[in-house]
Amino acid sequence: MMAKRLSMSIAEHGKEYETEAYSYSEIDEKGSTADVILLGPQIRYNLKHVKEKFPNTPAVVLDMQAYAVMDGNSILSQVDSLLKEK
Amino acid sequence: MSKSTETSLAIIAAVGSAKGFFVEAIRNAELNDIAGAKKSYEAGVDVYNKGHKAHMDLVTQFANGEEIGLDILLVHAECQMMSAEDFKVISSEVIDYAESRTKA
Repeated sequence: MMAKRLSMSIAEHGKEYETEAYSYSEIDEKGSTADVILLGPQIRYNLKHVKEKFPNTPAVVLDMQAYAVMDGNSILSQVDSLLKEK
Repeated sequence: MSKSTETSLAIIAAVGSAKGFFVEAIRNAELNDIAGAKKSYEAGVDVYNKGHKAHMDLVTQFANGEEIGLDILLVHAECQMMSAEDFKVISSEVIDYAESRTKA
């Protein structure tokens, strides 16, 4: 649902990002294909692990409030600032 | 978004976050960071309570004879809450154990 909302926001803003949602168990396989990794707040404890595994990929835990209301725009600006820092 | 979907998402985000904090608390305790573990645990309890309140509001509505739309999202929310509740107890026990171990 979050990925769908995010891709709607991306389209609204005319950006060309692609979003994919995966189970955490697929991170080894899919993590290397990502420019940005967003973790659901329920797996925040994996953030350190993700950063160690993919040191060149910005990774962040989704803001709980934005997640609760499925606020794609807010997540998109989180992604934009991560890409800027990269 | 329907009211029922909003409530389900509020529960999912809150108790999901809580579970994340509880597991983080266990990891901190494993590293003998008792203060960090307690901080994560408290953060977990704080958000867990928010999710639990949304859940209790639904139960109250049901008790008052109001219609509760039951869908897969609400089932998922309740399921996540049970799991978070278990992790709350487990993390509290692990912290107590880790603390007693550091004192021994």
